[in-house]
Amino acid sequence: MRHRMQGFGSFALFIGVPVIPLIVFWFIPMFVSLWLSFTDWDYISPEIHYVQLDNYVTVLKSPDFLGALWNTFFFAFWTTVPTLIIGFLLALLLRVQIKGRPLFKALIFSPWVTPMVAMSIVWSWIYEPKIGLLNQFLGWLQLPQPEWLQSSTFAMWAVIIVTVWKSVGWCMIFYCDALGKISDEFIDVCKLEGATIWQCIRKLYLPLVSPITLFLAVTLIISAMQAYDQIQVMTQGGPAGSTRTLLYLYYQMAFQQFNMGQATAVAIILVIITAVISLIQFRLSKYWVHY
Amino acid sequence: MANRRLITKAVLYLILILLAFMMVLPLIWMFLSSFKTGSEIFAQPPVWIPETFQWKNYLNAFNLAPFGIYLANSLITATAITVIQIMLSSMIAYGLTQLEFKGKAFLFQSMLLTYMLPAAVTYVPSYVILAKLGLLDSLTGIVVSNISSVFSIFLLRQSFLKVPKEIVEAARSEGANDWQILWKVMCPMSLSTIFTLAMITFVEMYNNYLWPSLIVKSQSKYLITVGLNQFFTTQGTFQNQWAMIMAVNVISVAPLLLLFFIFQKWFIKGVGDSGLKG
Amino acid sequence: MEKLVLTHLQKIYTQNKKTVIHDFNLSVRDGEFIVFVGPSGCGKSTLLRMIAGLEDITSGELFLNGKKANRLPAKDRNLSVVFQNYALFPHLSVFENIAFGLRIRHYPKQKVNEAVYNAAEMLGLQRLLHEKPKQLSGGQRQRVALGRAIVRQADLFLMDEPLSNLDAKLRTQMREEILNLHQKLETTTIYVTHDQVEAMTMATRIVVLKDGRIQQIGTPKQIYTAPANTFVATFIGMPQMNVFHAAGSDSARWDDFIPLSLKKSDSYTQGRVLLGIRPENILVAADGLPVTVNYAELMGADTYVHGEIAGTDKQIVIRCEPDRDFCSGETVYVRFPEDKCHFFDAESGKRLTIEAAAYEA
Repeated sequence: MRHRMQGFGSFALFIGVPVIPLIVFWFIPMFVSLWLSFTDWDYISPEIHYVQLDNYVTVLKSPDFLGALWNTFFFAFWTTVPTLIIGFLLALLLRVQIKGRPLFKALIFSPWVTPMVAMSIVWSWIYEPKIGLLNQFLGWLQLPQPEWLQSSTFAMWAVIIVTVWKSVGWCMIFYCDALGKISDEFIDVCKLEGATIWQCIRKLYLPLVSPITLFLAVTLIISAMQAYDQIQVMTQGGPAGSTRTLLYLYYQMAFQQFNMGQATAVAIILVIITAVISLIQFRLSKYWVHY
Repeated sequence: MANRRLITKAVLYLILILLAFMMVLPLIWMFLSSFKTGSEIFAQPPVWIPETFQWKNYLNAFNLAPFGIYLANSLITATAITVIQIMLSSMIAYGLTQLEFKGKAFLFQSMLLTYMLPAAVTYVPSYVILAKLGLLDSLTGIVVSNISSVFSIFLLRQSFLKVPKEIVEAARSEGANDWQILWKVMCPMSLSTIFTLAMITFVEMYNNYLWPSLIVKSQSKYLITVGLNQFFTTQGTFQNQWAMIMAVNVISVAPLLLLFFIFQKWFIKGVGDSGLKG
Repeated sequence: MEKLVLTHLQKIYTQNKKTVIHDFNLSVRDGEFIVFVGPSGCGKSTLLRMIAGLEDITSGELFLNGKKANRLPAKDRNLSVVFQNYALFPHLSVFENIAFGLRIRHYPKQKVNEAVYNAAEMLGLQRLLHEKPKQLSGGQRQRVALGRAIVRQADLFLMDEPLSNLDAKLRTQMREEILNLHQKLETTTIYVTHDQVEAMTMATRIVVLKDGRIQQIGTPKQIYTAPANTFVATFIGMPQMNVFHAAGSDSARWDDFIPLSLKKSDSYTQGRVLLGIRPENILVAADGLPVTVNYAELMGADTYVHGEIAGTDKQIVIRCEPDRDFCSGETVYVRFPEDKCHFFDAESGKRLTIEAAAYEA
């Protein structure tokens, strides 16, 4: 009897207690969100009406949503792919045994540690069309000097550059570790067979780091879907909605317009998209990931 | 051949130095600019090193907004969240790896599901829940709503799974109960994971912006990120305030960079080989 | 014809300035099976990697087929290496693993297929060609690694402890397979191992190494019957050779069993000579040197008796017929037949002839 009580006590202590915040701030809100997306709640009025799929229909038809959807995909793709490629190339460069390797790693990684808000402020100054560092540099190279954050064609790229800049270090660390774990024997085999660097990368490094690539691709896309800080600081979704992603649209609808029903509908769509992308990645991984 | 190798190495160094410099350039630019005068800020071509370091930029910033309080708020909440989150997550991770109970698989799978989803979905209901609990506009609210993290639970579970069964059984046969096994066996044996996790959580919580900006309204509760953006939006319109804004940025970035460069060796190694990739 | 000649080869690591190979000289004839044997850290793998072109040569010369090849890139040496951990690419099938080198060198498809099927047939891998390395057993992986080596018809095989990851039974089997392969292909092979059994059973010639220096080069028989020094004497042979300081008070007791020429000499009490005798050469007799038995191990075909020479703390191992039982504490008498005794200089450990031993003593 005492033993069983102890078993229950352990369960209550180890699972029961810590699971409470998890339920209150994760599980319940998710279901409530789903439910809210079928209502017309506006945060103020006490009355809540069930509106079936109206929110979804309205949202899916609105040009704002479609623009944001496109922006989200654009942003996710152009942050994830360059981050992966640059991170991998940096790790490849850092494979060579040279002095000061840890310092290089630390320097390249350091942007990850800084607050996105602070860095977005610094970058918005760098992007300043007339006196900003970037355009002064481009001018010195006799290249065109776009109005970065004020231009609807370049604002998105400006946001993407900051995002990539901040996360390549993170990516590099994982690739460094994965490359470090490749046995020297494999590299010897490549040397013996006279493989070129390109052959080495294609036949050896890429397949052997593929599990890390999958992990990074999935997590980078999930975090791209949730990018907010840099957009809020640098462009507030503008100019002309050119940097408004689904998440930013959700924020505007929920916390500026208090249109909770449509906002949560956007959130649910975002969840579905994220889930589908992750699922597709895992499905496809069978063909290119080698454990 | 030795010569060629030397040249390759030199080229490699050059590339790396260039790349590393590009990566930290915004940080350096921020730091140097925080000491400039208004005219140096607007100079064309850009002035790199200010003629005299304008320490008063920092003083002015502190006079305009209570950055000391913001900083303290951020450090306090990030520390509290890190400590509590790791404690709670270790407990669940222990339950998931060592205890047998009904619905274990279900619990684990539901957590797996949440991990894949954007946190933003939960914001609206969480906001309402916090309001109902009377925790809006309070540091406690920020802490409470952030103490559970599925990511931490997974990471710790991964690490606990690696603790050999014999060690747990040996501890149990010596009469240790679950509570003692968790804190005296599992956690010490997972120290490197815990350290890495603590660093990541701390950095993320210190840098967190969106959620805290939604729940805190009064200036005395601002986190540094919230205060910073507030300051930027109010002051940023007057372009000659750039130097002061950079000073504020330096203040906000400094604690983490300092922490990072002290612990970078362990941090980088920990992130690389912790079970982060699942 | 000389396939490979190494003269005054030396390797110094640039980082720590440590010399790992000292003045190494060896010439290998076509078709030989040379085994480098020595304890771990003796430099045998480094040497192999230098021959392969994976490690720089600090000084000395390396000739391949009569041409100086110090600086020749690994890929142009026309040799193949079998690595200790097989180095099989986990993401490639057995077929692609074997074909790896051919693909890198852009061989035509037809030729690749032909070569891989031939190699697979020789190694009995036909049915496994589409498996991934993870699905194979240790022995099968080993075969795939061999397949990759033979498929290119290299002139020289280098094998770096290829059997050390296998269990004892498989090791014996693979040893045989490698030997069969060598007989069939007659490719010159250099084989690195720390296992003396592999060295003794496989080699046409053995090179014994210690601390980066050659201790002895010779056929297995030469190495066993005439070890060049105490290191070789004790390294090769199981259980290892008994080596005693032929010193002082012992001499009186050994009267009848060690060579007479030594017996007479008084100065031999200085202990300048070491006497070695293999356990299987010791005769258990009715009288002779008394040995107190500590314990006996019955190995099946024979018994190893571990004991001490009575009245001393000198350990001795005797290998004898299994029919006799020994109990601990019992005293047995042993004789050392003169022609089976080895003599070494006590300081340098170098082998001495009986006459020289007598003279030295």
